[in-house]
Amino acid sequence: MTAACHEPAPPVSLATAPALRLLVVGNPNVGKTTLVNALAGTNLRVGNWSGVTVEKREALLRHGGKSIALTDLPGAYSLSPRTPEELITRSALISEAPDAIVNVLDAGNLERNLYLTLQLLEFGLPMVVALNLMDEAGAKGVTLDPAALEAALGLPVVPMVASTGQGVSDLLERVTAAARPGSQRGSASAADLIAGPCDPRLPDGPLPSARAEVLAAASSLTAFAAGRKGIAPHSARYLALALLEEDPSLRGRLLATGQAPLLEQADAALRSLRAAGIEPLLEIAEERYERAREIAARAVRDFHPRRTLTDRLDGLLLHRYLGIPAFLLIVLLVFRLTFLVAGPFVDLIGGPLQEVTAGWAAGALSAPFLPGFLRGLVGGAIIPGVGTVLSFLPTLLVLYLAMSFLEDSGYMARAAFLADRTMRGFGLDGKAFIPMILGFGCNVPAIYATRTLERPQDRVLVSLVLPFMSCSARLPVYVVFGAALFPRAGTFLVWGLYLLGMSVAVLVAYLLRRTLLAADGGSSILELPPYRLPRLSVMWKHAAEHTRAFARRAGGVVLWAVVAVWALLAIPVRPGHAFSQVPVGESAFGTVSSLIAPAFAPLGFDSWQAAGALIPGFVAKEVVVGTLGQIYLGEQTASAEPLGFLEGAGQLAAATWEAVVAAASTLPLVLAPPSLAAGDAPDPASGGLVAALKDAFTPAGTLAYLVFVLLYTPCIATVGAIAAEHGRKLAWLTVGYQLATAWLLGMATYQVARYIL
Amino acid sequence: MSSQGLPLRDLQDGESALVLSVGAANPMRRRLLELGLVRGAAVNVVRRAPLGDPIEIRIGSTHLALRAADLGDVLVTPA
Repeated sequence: MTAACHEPAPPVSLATAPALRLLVVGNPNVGKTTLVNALAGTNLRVGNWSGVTVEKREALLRHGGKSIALTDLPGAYSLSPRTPEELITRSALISEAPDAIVNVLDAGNLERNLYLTLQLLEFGLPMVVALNLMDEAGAKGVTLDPAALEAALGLPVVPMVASTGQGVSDLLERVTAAARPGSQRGSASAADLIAGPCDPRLPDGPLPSARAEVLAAASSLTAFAAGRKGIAPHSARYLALALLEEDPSLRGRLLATGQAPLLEQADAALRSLRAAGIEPLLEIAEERYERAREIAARAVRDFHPRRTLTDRLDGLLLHRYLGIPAFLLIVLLVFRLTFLVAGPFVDLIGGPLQEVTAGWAAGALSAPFLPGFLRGLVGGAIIPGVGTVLSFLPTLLVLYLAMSFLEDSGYMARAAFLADRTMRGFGLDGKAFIPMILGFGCNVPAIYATRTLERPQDRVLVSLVLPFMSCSARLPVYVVFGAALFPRAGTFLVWGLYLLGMSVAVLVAYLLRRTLLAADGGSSILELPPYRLPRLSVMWKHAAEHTRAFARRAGGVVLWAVVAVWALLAIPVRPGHAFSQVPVGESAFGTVSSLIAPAFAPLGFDSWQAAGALIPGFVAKEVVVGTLGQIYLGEQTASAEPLGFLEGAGQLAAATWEAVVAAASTLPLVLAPPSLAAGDAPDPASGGLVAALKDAFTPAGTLAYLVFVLLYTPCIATVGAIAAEHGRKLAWLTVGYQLATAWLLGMATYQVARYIL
Repeated sequence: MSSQGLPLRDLQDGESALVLSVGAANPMRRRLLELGLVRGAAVNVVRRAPLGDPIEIRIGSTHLALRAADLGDVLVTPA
């Protein structure tokens, strides 16, 4: 995090700048994402904060002829950060001096939300309050008077229901007006709510003397800070109060920017307050809440608490006896939905689409002046390799949609609540449950999701074990081998592997907690937000984004891996064969693979083909299947019959329609009582590969192979994510110890299984 | 108000009380104060997780899950 206290920026720089820069700030779970989506529409760009990997959501929009740059900051309860995400929010406020702040409030939870508002007011920046979730407040039995709130705060207040778009244009109107120099903004007296002794709009009871002393100390420290070079004027008051609150995250930042004298001044003030038996942290928090309560009291017209839908749902979903069965049922439903609905589309991409593309390619490349190996490269490597990976897109999309639903609806937090006690037995936080479940989709976003954990060492611990969670890229490997060697028990096999991955993750976490990363259980606060029906558009955007990233990978890393494997397969190592005319066993790939193959003898699969397919798996696990296909089937696919364009298009259209019908007809099955047949994994268009694998592997060797694939080194993208979060050393450590774990457990599996199977 | 108070975690499910203080040594003192567990605030124990821990409490309209271990020095007095 770069400290940038030394950029003194005027609070309002609008007069000349063409764009308004807005920061959107609010507590978690106040519908901020929905609001930003409603404001930005399709203009939303998602990137990363420079230097860190928390999602940065920005949009450029136009309103009334003005261009507005919008930055959505991570949700924060207060400006005393406990997590890296909250730190980002605070840093942006201190250093960026936006033209205005949009503070999003949950109308049904005014008091707590106003705590942050009061803190934001300490910055002398123009601000508009978006009073969101008015509908939910109504359902809770709260009747609000936005005008009264506006008067009490001295800030523009816009009542809204962001999910329906209600109030959005009004908000834009008020923000544009507020950001104009000289317009209504957090007026001086409003900004003084805390540090100032009197406010004309609020009843001024006699302050307890301790509180008065803290406020006096804050005022003089503010004056001192404001006079210092390198302190942005708009952040002086905030800094003064945060220093008196002994915010531990601030010291390093101020020291690094040469503000030691300010720290000394603050320490002196703290010493004298403490000598008088006064605790500034407590006084300031109580003062803010007292103010928040007064303001809320003016704004709330009527409050008749009602039993909400959330209360009712939680009565069931968090029930002492029914809660855990309900949880298991939900997970089961998600997985069934994923595989049943996506299955026909997986078959479509893996089968007809791939065949037709191969046919077109064969037609296009049959021209006599083209070198013959091109046909082999395209038809034998690129199409089947990349095609196999792409055939996985439908599964990913549905899985992401389901995950997104669970997260946005508020259920994920409940899952963490239910799991906390058990997870703690293994030295993990209940909150770690969310990234771990996300790991089933893809390990990469899951690694980033560890940022919601408060302690750095917890984030390291979870990142170290997370890759054992079986991400969806590993599934095609299980499916193909399951179809080949355990056709009747495919579902059991897949479930077993998922369970094994989970068990290894928690056991390794337990061991690490006892040894290298020893620590107490830590502390945890988890908010259980109200249940909300996620917006389909938001879910879709989220899922599509991640699926697109996966597809891009298929066009990037995966494509290159496939081409590299093909080239290695084509290069002869012994004389007597021409390029691309070499039997696979005598190619460079075969030679390299033969060298490492003996290492896998104790695991029951020491053929060079099996060992070789694991190598490109370092790039991405889904490539394992593609490579197996290349090794065992390369030539078959290459000999695809040339297809005319129209002919191919006709076949495709028919196949697509079939897939849609098949997917629709599986929907009722999702709710059908569990039956193994219904859950049986779809058979991707790898009939040939299935047959080849059946001959090449023993059942015991297959189990060991799958255990190895499940556990060994995560893909490059995950290693990259770990390196970005925790440094290269830890990334290498992960690579090494997971390879060792995979080998050991693979061996154990084989040694046990060969006596049973 | 009685002067000593009882730990929040000793309340039964469904019981309400007023916050007296959050212990000075509580690792989450700052955040608990920020979330509204200040002197005089009304707090309600909603339920316990299936294994008895963590505990869901309600303060205002905020529902929080906290571990019993962290609620030992959060003292309350019957409303």
